[in-house]
Amino acid sequence: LPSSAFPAFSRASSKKIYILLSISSFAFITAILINAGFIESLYDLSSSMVYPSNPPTPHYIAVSSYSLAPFTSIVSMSAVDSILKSSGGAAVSTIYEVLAPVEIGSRILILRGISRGNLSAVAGSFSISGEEFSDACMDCLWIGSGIAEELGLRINDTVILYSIMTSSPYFFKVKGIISSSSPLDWELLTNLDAARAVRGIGGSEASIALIFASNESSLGKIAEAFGASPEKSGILEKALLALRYSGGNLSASAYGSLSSFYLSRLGISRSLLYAVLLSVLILLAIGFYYFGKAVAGSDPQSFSILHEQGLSVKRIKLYSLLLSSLSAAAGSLSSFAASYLIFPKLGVSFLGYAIHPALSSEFLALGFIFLLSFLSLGIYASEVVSFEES
Amino acid sequence: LALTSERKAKTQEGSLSRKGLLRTLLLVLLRKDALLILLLVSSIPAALSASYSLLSPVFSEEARGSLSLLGERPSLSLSPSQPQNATCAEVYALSAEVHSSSFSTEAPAFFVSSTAFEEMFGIPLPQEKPAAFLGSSISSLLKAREGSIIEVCSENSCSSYRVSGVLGSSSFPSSIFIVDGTFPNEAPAYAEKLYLCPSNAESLIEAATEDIEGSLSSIAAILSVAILSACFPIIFIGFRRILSLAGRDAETLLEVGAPRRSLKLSLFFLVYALSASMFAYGLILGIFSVHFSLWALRLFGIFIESRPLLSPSQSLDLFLIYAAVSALAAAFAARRWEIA
Repeated sequence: LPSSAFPAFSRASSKKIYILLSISSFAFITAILINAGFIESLYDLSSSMVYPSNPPTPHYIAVSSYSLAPFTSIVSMSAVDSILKSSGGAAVSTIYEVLAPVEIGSRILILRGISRGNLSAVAGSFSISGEEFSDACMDCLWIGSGIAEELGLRINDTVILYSIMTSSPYFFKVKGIISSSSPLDWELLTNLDAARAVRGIGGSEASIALIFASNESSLGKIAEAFGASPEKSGILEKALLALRYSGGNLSASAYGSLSSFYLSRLGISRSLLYAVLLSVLILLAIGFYYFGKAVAGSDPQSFSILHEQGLSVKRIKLYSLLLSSLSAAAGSLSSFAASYLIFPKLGVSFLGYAIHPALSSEFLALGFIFLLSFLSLGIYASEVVSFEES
Repeated sequence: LALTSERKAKTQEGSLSRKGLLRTLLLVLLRKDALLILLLVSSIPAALSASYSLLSPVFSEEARGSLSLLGERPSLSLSPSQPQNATCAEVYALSAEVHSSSFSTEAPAFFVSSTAFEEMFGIPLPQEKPAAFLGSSISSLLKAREGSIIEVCSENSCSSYRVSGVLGSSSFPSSIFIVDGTFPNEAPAYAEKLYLCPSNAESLIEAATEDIEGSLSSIAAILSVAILSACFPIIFIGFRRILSLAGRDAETLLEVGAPRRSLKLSLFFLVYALSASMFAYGLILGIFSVHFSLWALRLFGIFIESRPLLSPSQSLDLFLIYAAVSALAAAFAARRWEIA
């Protein structure tokens, strides 16, 4: 066989079907990426809410109570402080945060309470227009610039918000608008005392504690002081300790991430979400079996001629697969590029946060693999030449 | 089978009527695995988009169920305008500097008449007026209890009040109420007039679930549209495959005198109608699989009672998107279809 068989084959075969295959791969991969992206973003929401944007050290853990969400958690600050003391000063610093869901003009948003000194650690780089953040104030509110724009709120406006936790109204004055690249842009911000009143917890309680250590071994010591099993300290980086109070005793279990903990409380694990996504992917990819058949049957006449010229059926199928892989790859890659450009603009508001689908290269790869598998099944299951025996 | 019905149609009316043609083509399609192809290309996207659309109804039913206990809690609402069908009390609100012997902070202060205060909070007033009532949080911050003296200042004028009581923990925890017999003369001119009305948490929870349901259903809508439009090329390929399967029978029909144009139109119509019914079947399949999954969750210890159905408008929306996508696919497929 001449070495120029493949170029000859590609010249002879119908272009239209491969163009259609590219478009089809583009649509399929985009649908998969949007699916995976939204589920991933919703999944990671609680982590992105709680983890600091500018941590003082890269080694930290979040401490939550055994609850359903960051804003239903209650952590006793005195209990955390006394445990940290018993760990022998392994912690560099601790940040307490209060998170509460509030209703404002039939929208549900998150109100975050932090102390002034921790603002830059939580928010990362930020700027405030209006009054500076203050700790001694029960009716002061700073509003994320994204939400301020959406609700049309300005400095010195009066805001009446309702706490879902206490179902009481709260009277606030907008003291400033805060702009940052962190989730704070979509939240309401106030100090710890005012947020505690909204959350309905006492003066020595918080929703979440973030504990920072100078290195990983100190982090392990802290986890041990909390009673978490030391063999789990390997997963502690940025992880979570869930505290359980029972009979006056406090015990902690370590989790790989915040989101996995909260969702596991709901009975949903990350692997279950992936299983759902994978089955969606496979169901959508089944159609490519018929595409494979269409590719193989696209041009029986020229295939027959090529076959008569000495190109074996095996070769014809192989070349068809090669050409269709190339066009599917072109479609998939351009879908990935388009998603990269479009996803930041494709946002849905959830609890005030603008949720953009996350771009997942794993699902690009998985989608492409399943697409190719069904495509090749289709190609190999069909007859490419009308009279194979001749 | 196809040929016998062809002959029947021919003998009945002399030449092939449109009805006979449709019936014959339907038999051809049913014989040619067309249903299996349509099942794959139409039912799967239908089932997936139906499952996504059920996401938000499941959530809101569950959330309403678990929050309904909270909803019975009596509460007060505060609004800048007088709501209809409610007996409300006027209050004057301002931001005040509050000082106690040990602490100072800024807090909202409400000036209210004694009758209104008694009506809204159900707390009998002490003899001494003016009286100050503190929310639970501000009371513990100021370390002020019943009998303590606090100073309330705004715009450089201060007054001292004796604390007459502390409100319950879930009502205005961060506020101060100044109940004054000579009200409203003592309320400063720059205070904001608001209406305090009795309510319960029901409307609050309704708003909360509606807001989250709205977010979830817009995500579900994006996912459904993405899936349905991703299926366009597959639907097109499926239709083309069916048309090519029916090709030889169509030739026979042409030979027995069926007009080419009406043959093409009938086939187009039939494939389209069959795929629409497969789509409807897929929607039902999706609902069924969601119900089954919700039921199966009890095996993992999660009890979800809601078994939502697609609302007529949801099904219609999905159906219209599919109808548009598949009409386009069918038109493309039919245009390229050549008999013999």
